[in-house]
Amino acid sequence: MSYSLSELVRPLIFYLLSFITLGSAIMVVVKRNIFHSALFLILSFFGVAALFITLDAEFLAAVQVLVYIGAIAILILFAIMLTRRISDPLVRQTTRSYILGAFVGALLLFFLIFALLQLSPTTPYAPQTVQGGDATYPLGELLMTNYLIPFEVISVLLVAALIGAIILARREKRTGKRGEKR
Amino acid sequence: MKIDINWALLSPELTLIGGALVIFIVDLIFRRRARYLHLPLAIITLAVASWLLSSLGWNYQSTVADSFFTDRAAIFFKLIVYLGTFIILLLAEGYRPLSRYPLPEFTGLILLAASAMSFMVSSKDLILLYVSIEFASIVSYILAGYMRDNVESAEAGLKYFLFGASSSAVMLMGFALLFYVSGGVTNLPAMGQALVENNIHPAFIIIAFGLVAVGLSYKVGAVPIHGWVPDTYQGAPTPIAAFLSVSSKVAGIAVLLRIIIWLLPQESAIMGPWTMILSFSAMASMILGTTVGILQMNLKRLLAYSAIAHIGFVLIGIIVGMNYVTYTGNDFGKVSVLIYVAGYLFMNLGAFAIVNMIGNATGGYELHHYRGLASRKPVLALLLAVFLLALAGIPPTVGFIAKFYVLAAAIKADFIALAVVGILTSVVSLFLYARVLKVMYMDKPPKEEIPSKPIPAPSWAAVGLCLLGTLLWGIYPGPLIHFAKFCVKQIWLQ
Amino acid sequence: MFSDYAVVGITIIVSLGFVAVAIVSAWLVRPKRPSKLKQSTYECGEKPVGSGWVQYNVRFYLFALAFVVFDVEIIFLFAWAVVFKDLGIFGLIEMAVFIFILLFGLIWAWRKGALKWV
Repeated sequence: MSYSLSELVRPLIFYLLSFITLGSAIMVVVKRNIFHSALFLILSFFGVAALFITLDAEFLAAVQVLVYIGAIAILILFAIMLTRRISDPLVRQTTRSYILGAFVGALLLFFLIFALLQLSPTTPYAPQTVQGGDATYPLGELLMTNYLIPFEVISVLLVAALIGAIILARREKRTGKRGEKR
Repeated sequence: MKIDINWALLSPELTLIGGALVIFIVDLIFRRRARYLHLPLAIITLAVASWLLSSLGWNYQSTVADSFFTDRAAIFFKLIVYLGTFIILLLAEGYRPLSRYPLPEFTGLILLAASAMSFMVSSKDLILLYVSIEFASIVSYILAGYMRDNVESAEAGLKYFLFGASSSAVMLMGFALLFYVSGGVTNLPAMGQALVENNIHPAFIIIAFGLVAVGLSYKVGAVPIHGWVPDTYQGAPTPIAAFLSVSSKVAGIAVLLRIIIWLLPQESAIMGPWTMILSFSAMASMILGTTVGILQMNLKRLLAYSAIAHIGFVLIGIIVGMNYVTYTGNDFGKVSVLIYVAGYLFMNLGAFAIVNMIGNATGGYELHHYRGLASRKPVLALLLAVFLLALAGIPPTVGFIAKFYVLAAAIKADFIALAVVGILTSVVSLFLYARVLKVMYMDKPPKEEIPSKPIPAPSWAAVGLCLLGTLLWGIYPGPLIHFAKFCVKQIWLQ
Repeated sequence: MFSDYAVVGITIIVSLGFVAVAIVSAWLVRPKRPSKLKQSTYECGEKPVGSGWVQYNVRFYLFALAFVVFDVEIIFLFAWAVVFKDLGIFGLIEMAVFIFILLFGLIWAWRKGALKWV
């Protein structure tokens, strides 16, 4: 029985990273203190970034860390800090219909696993990933040619989201005496 | 490397985006001096976009690596979306609760939402489809919660957002699964072909499509993802509720129709179960919409449940249409969907317009505000009566024509159960709408005079347009039916 | 490729281990006699009053919001920069449109006072 090192290590790393990602995701939902939940969310994002690396998608891993952790998680933390009370024991952490929710979730999981089991494990459905070298170049190329319309639409989407969010979030302009601003 | 771009095909959407940006820029530069410019600018933009759209030619064309296309049905759906947007802009002008909030941005965002819905209807590529669905949804969340100091509006926006974000995540999972088994193709028709060629097990496709259907069901507001509709329609600013009920729904219907035809292989192992699932959804929507709607006291909520019932009807047409994809002879299913969508635009916007006008003038949307409306404001009461009867499907309105065609398509294609449920729920819905008529015509008006502010002129224009559409196509439906049949006679699988 | 990241993995494990060992060994060794005074929050010698949780100002949130939008712009710039050389003028125009639309967004946010700190 001679397994090469990488054959043994690969599944091990996958299970470890999955454990970290899923475990912290569960902690996000379970923790009473929202701030702690957000911190566990950051940990699960790190797990996802690491999983991207195991899939040879280094650009995506970098993007995950830069955008999800660097911008979105920070935004979430600021939004949390805008709330008045953070871990009031009177605030319900779970919805009243959590049994139904758990049932639907389990149903979804069952269907997903059932569907995936129908696939043959040996057929390579998706085309081979870029061997060696770096996947960023083909990604950039596709983005600028085939997917040009979504690319430009995304710029308009970002501006619309920015404008809308600022309108929803900004302070009222108090019109007091000149120079006096609350 | 360069890519071919047929700018003419993209011109309507680009016009809408450009128009929105112009409105934002004008507002930035001129501030208060250009307060009244945003509505004319928006209307000009819509007019130019519609003109460009109609000059595209009725043949199928596609551009940018086959990701964006136009064909007859796409032009039809987009015209409906633009017309709906136009009427909404008229309704939003002078809507009092919005006066505290920045109006140019409101108009600009509505134009951007229209452009996103336009992209949705014309997208052949998975990435473009998803980006445009998200774009339309995000702008809609903002618009629904626009009156942020109003608790109901904030609740509407938040509920809409939560439902939308989770449904969209589920839909993306479905798309990811289908993307994987089709060999990494993002072009949707090619994905459908690959699903057949790769011999994927039917159960997988059924489940993966189920996940996709969750997201699309959210967009059109059908059971089981209908929960957001009543609260969002009730809380959002009334013009936005009307916008969501028409333009957003129509774009969602167009996408649903295309996705079903492109992605679902025609084998009975998949079509059978999915026809059944969609039938349950259609029947549940119609039944729930009409029965729960009867209990409603708030006009906007009542119209929301009516919207759920109507989408059930449209689903009947889609079910017939999907089972007869290459049956070009009497493809009643798709024709009925197009006719219904056109008729629904006029009837529903008309009803919302009157509710908007009454709410704007008196500040109330509850049923007791409508007591004795016939004696206080006879014209408005009569107009609302016309639109509600149209929604119930009474001749000589376009509602009757639309329901007739859908039921005829269902019976002709042997979906008797669907037709029976459709007829029964139409009868029940009559009771739903008649309740409002009874309150308006037979109840005594309240003793105190309800203060009523004047109604701005653009609202009357909007109502006039809706009335024209509702009655004209009801009495003389020939041109509409002919146009719909023309738009359906095309190759759907490319 | 895997061997490169093995180094990263080992670095993470070693640094976590370093911190863990430092804290755990200190905890094992020190005497455990907690008192009320020792458990209270440290506030530079002052007596702490009230809860430590203060509701922040919304301007932090607005800045983080603008940052998210421009961070997403940055990642598209990265993807574009890799292929820029082979795209020619066409690529330049595509990205210029993208950047100008987002530049407009920035100017809008600026003029509407979302970027004011005071």
